[in-house]
Amino acid sequence: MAVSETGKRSKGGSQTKGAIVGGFLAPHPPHLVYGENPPQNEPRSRGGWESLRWAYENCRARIKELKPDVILVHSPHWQTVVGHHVLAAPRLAGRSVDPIFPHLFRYEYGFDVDVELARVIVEEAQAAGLESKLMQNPRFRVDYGTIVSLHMLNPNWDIPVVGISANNSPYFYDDKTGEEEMTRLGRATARAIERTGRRAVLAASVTLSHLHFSEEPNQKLPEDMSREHVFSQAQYEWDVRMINLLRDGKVDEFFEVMPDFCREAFAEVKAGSLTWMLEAMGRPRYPAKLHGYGTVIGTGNAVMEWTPPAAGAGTATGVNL
Amino acid sequence: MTIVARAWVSSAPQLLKPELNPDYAALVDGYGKVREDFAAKGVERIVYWSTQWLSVLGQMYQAGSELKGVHVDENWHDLGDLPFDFRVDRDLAAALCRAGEEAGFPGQTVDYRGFPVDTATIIADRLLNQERLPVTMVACNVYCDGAKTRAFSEVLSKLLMARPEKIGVVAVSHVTTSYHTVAIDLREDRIRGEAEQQFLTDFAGALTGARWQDLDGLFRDCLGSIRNDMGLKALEWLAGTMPQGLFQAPWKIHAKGALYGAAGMVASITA
Repeated sequence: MAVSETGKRSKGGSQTKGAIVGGFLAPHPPHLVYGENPPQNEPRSRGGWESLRWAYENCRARIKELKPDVILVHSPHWQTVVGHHVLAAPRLAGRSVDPIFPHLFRYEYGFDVDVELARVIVEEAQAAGLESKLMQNPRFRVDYGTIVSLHMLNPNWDIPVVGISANNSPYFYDDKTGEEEMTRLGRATARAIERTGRRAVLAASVTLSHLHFSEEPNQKLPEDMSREHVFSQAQYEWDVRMINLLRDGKVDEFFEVMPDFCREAFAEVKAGSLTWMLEAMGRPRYPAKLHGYGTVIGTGNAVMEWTPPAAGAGTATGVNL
Repeated sequence: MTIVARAWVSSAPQLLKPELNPDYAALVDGYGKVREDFAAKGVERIVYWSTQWLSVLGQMYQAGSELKGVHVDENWHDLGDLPFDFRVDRDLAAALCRAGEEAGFPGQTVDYRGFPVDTATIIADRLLNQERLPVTMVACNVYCDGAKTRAFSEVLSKLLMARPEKIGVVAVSHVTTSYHTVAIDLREDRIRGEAEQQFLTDFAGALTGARWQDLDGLFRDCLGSIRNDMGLKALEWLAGTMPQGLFQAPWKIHAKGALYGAAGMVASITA
């Protein structure tokens, strides 16, 4: 199958129009990888955080059904000052050690990057008036947020990736500026996917409520689930409220209350990853599917899926197969 | 021996391009002055505390047995690779950790292959430690405010004062952090914001004039309205290393200047 500058060609030779076939809220606590004990991660555990890991198992099955060409992930742990950066080295590999939880996450990663799509995202972002830049250094260490979300969605690493940084505009300026930036970035991403003919899955690598314990509850056994609970009732109620809005497809209301959520629950969605994804998907007003909710060291994490109504297994809106 | 030298340094990848901007060149020259000061005082160990190495779950101390590799900056990845190869004094790190624990500051040493060392410390060490003296690093805990940072520093300093080696303590921190948020020609780099420029002038003036009483008012009036590096906790960290926890002699500020819009400073502090 030939790939052109502006779109992928089908087996029959006709021009295909790319589409986003699924979107996932894919939080990145390294504990989830630690609890799973994959061969790539050095530390060993007795398990833990199963409710979230089982939720991710559903996502893994869904991604297999969706057969995407690429997974795009937006991560708050690659924070950039000058614009939105996009991974664009053909192959990135190395060892990712979490600076906060190095005893839990020391992971050997390696994946292919969809460089053509990365280039077009940057082009579209720049055309939309955004500062944007390619990251082409092959020795770049990919942030652990990106690695954890990708592992949890696709542990075989057999689907090319595009990683996008979280520009710090929501923190440097304000919520409104940040939301505008992420909205434009999301729409630019959608146009790039359409232009390149990709079947794309998006991943927003963020936790919901983000206040957490300042010490591990059981330092001798981090996976001690008898000590795991939400940081506060108020934080839990915020998470439930926001999840229900998304489950009901009330995305506009979600965005209306998001600044309060970020302020009161220190929500990580402030970083813009979820805004980017939902705007790329055209603010989906259909119900999101909740695969699971759970806490990690007190933070609230939801694993959720948005599948465009016409994008079932093997098909996608706008794709000429 | 004791803590024999102290310094405040600002560090960023732009310092690797001193030929592009007179501010970068001045800051790099400032590192040379600190280096001379450290050499004159016979510094044998360097302890770094960096606002770019953040700890969340208690305190962290670098004890890497094989702390070398190639780092690429998250923002300025196009400015090239940053190879590093630290000689870490693991015993010193362990001793600091124990001292912190005993004083109610729980923490951990880190000795993990591939543990990310922050860009600022790598570049500061490259410019400051050309003799490859043994080092260790202490993380900046995000939940410690200024007072707690000073108290923590006092605890560690008590141990450092009793060590057999001559120790240099370095705080790695910017002053202001109003970065340019668009791509600029590095030759045009200037400190961003009139308020930030004025703050830097007043801050430096208070330090070089030994007008410590002015700092309280300056912080009260300005810190809420200008972007600054971690509430300028670096000052508290350094104060904690001083005899009686107090600055007395005027600071020697070797250089001030822009680092992609942020304000940087390189200074030596005399006890």
